[in-house]
Amino acid sequence: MQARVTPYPQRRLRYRMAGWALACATALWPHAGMAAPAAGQSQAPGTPLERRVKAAFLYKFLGYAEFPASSFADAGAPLTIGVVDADDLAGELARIVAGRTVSNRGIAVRILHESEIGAPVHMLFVGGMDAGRVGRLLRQSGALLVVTESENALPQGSAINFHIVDERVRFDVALDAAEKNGVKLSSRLLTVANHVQKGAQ
Amino acid sequence: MGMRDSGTVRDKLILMAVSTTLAALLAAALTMLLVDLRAFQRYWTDDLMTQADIMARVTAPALAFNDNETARQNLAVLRVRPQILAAAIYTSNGTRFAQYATRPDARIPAHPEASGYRIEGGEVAVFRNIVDNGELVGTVYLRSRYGLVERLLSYGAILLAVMLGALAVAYFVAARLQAGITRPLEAVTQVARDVMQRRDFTVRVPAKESGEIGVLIDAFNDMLAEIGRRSHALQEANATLEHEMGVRQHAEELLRTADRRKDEFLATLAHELRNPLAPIRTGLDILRLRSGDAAATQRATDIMERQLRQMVRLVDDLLDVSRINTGKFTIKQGRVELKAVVNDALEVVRPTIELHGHDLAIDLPDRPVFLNGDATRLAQVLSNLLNNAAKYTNRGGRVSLKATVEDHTLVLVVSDTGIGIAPEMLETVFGMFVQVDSRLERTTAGLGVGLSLARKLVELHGGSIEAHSAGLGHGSQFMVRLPIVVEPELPAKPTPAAFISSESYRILLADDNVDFVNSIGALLTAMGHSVVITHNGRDALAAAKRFCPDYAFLDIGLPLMSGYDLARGIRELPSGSMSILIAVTGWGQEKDRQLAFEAGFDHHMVKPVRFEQIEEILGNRSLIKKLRT
Repeated sequence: MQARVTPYPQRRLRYRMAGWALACATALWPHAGMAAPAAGQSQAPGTPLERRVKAAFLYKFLGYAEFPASSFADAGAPLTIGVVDADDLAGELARIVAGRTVSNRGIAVRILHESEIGAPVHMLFVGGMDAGRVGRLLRQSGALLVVTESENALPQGSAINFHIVDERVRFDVALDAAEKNGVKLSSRLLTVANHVQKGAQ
Repeated sequence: MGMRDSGTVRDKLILMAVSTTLAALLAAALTMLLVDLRAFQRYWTDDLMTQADIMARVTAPALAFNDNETARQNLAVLRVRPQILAAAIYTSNGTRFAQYATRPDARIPAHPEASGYRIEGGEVAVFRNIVDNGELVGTVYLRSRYGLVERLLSYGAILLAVMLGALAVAYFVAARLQAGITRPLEAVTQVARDVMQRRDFTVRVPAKESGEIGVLIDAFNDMLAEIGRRSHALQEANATLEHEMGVRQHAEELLRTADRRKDEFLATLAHELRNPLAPIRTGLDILRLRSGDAAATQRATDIMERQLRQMVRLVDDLLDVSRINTGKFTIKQGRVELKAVVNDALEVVRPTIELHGHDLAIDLPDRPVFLNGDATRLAQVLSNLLNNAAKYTNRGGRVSLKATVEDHTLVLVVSDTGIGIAPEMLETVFGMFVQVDSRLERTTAGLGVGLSLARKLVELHGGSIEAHSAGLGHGSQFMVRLPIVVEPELPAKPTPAAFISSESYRILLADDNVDFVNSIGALLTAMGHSVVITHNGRDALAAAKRFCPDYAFLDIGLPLMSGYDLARGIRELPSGSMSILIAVTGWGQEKDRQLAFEAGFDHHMVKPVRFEQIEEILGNRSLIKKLRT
């Protein structure tokens, strides 16, 4: 029996995205050392791998999160990602999301200053390992879904918190923090989370 | 279905039904098998694809977030599906990300292939792309056992079982339904067998079928009926032929018997005719040698006369037989007195009885008995019976004639003390040419016509005759029954005194046989009659005219004028009607008699003429005259 290739409507699109996926995958493997030279050249050379991986993860989180419809001004309104204290990551993220959509919505990346922390963005990344500062920013945040990378950020109101396990970027999830703002996180995301903090119900 | 083809219609029908069912079932089973296998393959591959898709969706986050441990755990879930032998996840750049295998030595491709399925060696392998959020993130690989052969076997087994069951049902249904065709056929076959074995065409096929079989049975029955009819007709024809054959054989037998009797008769006839010739010749010798010896001459004349009489009687009998056989025998009807008949008969047979030295006893009724018939013939009957009695009785026996009257019937019994008749011959003796004992070499043996003639004559007179005998050696009796005429005799017509007063007549003799006519004339003259002798017709007519004879004995074959013309001439004479004309001729046939009577003759005599006959005619003048008038 000859194997058949099933025709797929989005096939052309997927091949178009192959280049990026290759670059992304390379970024996910900091110690693999098998990054293709061509792929490497397409990356911003100055950005560390860890930041690129986290930028890619931030973009991917959007695919597993469902925001309340009231958070959008209209059907064409874009998803907004705010980035605080991580300008290099923001640059990388902006490059990733360029030309991409999630749920037919465009993606807008904004670098926020501390004073702008209350801006109503859909997802907010708070960089930095300073727990005090992160906690303070979290309290002032107007974002629906907050992602952090500091220790003990979850109890302070973060929904997703990056940390490094076995030299890999992993993350913990606090469902209650997300649900508090009406954001639903896909159970599929939870399967790959390092730790999941269930809701308070 | 243990089928055997023994050639009977029943088995053929069942075989037909079963094989038809088998063909249909095979076609259906093969089609179902193909369709099922196709569906099965689609189902199997679809199932595996679905599993691959599920696995792709489940492992997409692990790929997205580079979590190969989670991916491995996701794959391990496949343990609940033991038919899946191996599985693997590949990243979008082609490296193996996670894998799963039921056996450690399972072969897992190092690199992914295009999305699709492949079937090889009882296994089916599937590659599916992993797409997450619209992006190709990797490939999932699943390899499973392909249960096609097991499926084929189990499904084939089920089909086979169903098919066997269906064939069994078809067999029993056909076995039941075929009876509608085979039962009437078997009936026909059975009847045909019976007909062939027993040749009985009356049997019929007892069936009321419709359709072609009905027509067949009707035609068969009709054919049987037709054959039966023809066979019957043939048998009848055979029976008829057999019957005709029997009749013919019987007729042939009768002909042979008659022929034999005729031969015997001819031999006897020759003997009988020759017997009297020797004494006559001897008599002639005596007359020539001893003409002077009166006594010897008288003896020789007596002998010759007796023998001559015997011969004449024989020839008369033969003539009578001839008439009987040609159906021309007639008798004259008239009133006859018994005594006259008896006297006539005795006159004939007395010499014979005396010759044998028998004692003759006559016993007649006192009063006259009248019969209706021919006196001469009745006398012939009696003389025949008496002659037989004398012949078949040894010398010195006793012959008796006894006549009695029993209620309008005359019973005449002629009995003797002779050799008798065997019981089985009592009826046969009346047959023509039959003799009681053909060994008899008596001079009196006879021709075997006497009794036959007697019976015929009696029957012509309305009577009967039968023979009785106590057996051989105990004598025999012949009993004749004749009807009696009861009315008194009519008063006799007065006759002219001239004819009665004188015993002498005027007699004319005409014959060209000079010796014969002269001797007769001499005798008549000696008896006191007036006699005129002529030798041709013309002289005779002239003599008659002049002489006016009371009697005229005329030869038929006269010169110059035939006897018939002469008679007519005499009848035309004034006194002709008073004459009694007697034709004397050598021809004794009935037609000759008839010619004579038509020409006017009163009487007809066949040569040679005995003198007694002439005397008899002269004595019966009154009777003859009476009949003529």
